[in-house]
Amino acid sequence: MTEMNGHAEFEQLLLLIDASAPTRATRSLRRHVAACWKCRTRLEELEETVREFARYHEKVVLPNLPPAPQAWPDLRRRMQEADQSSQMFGLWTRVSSYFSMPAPLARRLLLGILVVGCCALAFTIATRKKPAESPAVKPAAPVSRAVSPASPLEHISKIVPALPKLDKPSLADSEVQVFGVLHEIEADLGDPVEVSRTASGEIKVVGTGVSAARQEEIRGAVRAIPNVNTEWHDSPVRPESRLRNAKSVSLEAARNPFEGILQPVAPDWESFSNRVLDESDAILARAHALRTLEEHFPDQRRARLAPEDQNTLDQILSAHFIAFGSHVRTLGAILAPVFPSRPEPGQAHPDMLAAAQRVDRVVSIIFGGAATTETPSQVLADLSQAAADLNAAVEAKR
Amino acid sequence: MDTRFLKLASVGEFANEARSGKLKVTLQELVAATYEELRDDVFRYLILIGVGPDEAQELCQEAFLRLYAALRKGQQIDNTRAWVFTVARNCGFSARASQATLAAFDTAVEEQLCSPSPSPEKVLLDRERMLRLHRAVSSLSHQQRQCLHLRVEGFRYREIAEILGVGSSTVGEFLQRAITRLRKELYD
Repeated sequence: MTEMNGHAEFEQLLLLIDASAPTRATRSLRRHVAACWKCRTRLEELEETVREFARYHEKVVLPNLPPAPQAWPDLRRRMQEADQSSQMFGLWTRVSSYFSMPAPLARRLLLGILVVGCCALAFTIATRKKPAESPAVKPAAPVSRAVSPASPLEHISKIVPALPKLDKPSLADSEVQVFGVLHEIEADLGDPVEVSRTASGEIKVVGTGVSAARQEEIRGAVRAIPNVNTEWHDSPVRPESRLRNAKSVSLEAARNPFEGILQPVAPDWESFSNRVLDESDAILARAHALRTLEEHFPDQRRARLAPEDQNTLDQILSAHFIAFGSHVRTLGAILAPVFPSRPEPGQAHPDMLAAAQRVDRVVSIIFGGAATTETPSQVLADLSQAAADLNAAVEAKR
Repeated sequence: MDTRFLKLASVGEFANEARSGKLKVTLQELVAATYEELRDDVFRYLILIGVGPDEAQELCQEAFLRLYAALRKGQQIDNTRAWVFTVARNCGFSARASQATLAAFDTAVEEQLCSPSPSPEKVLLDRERMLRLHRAVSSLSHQQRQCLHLRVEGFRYREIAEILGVGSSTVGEFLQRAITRLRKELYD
């Protein structure tokens, strides 16, 4: 509700009908719309507009498009033709045919010289004295540098894979630093900000729909880190990475059926719902932050980081994990009176984000008014089990 | 071959299996099934961006042949539908001579919507509403119209962005302006 008069903006309403994710913003917006005649009317107009366009597309546009002028041909024949033509010019075919034909002696001699030349070149590279390492480059400790007196090719295979290991830490350093400073200003907790690295090694911090003040804060935080650029997109559209698996939410202005069912344990429904939804949001934010770090720094890459960077990363990870566990416990305590009976012991889901999303989905149905085809008792049982599974996932990871 | 699975999963996921012979279908069969499933959608899209019917039919096949070539080379394609539409759009824009097809389509629709008919009152009201909507859609920019048509075909913002070669946020802007315009036509 950013309009001065306290009503939802057009873009926010469009986000509700189009983006379909039960985020914190859309939940509070949905609650507002359910209670506000003006916003509900505007939302219905928007939904009707979208429906009308869909109808226009189906009834007017599609029937008036010309049909395909001819019957559709079978594509298999053209695919076979493509196969044949590519085989004719395929490198392997040409090489094979070259060796199978009766080649003149001179041509075979030329090939032999070429092979010997390649071997000689490989030997020269392998036995060349290695230049002294630059003091600026940290030695890769776990890799043995001893040159074996074995064959030159074996020697090449030992030194070639080691080369990228000398270059990687400098890039990873900057990326860890970026995550570190974003963590300090809590920009890794639900802000639509993504960190990525381009092919040229530049680190990009891309934000979508971030307020000007927050942009400035993030820009200031990463300014001192070399090779980092920021990019901002102003849009009402939330990044889809968070929305990808979200289900559609239909707006129901009617009273939430769970409000009556849970009245004895939650007499102040609004306040109770907000507490639950806030905890679920916080859990999801931490789970996403943990997932992002896992994706950016898989074990193999972490092993190549300098010790201080590993330490920074460990600190960020443990901060998120501790907070994640704390929010899971808090949510469990809030929800305990809601559960119809003592929940069965949960199953530790290996994917904490999936477990958190499952809880959030059920919580959105009960406390956010998201649509479902299940009966209230099924939904409550789902919540009980999902919460127990999430708790088990935290305990297993601990 | 049952092509229903194509709606559920990406052809790219099956392509590796087909190439390695683990699936009992060949890559050609897989692409042929995709072609049968999607060719009408791709054809309609090409017409909507202004390509003539003959050329649209040829370009449609071309897009699927490129899909076959890409999968055969081992290219990973996560979203086959969006990929084919992207290729079709690129081919379509290279081939499109003018907006003549679109203009002809618009005129034909308008004539049909305006033609008097002894239909019941409700049909007349519907027709009036559709005509207003049609005029509003016609007044949108080419990009806005494409976004609307792709959205109604079920593409998500990111997929539309991929097809049109713009950012997701730009797609959001286009759609927002387009729906604002349509709503104004219908309600103001």
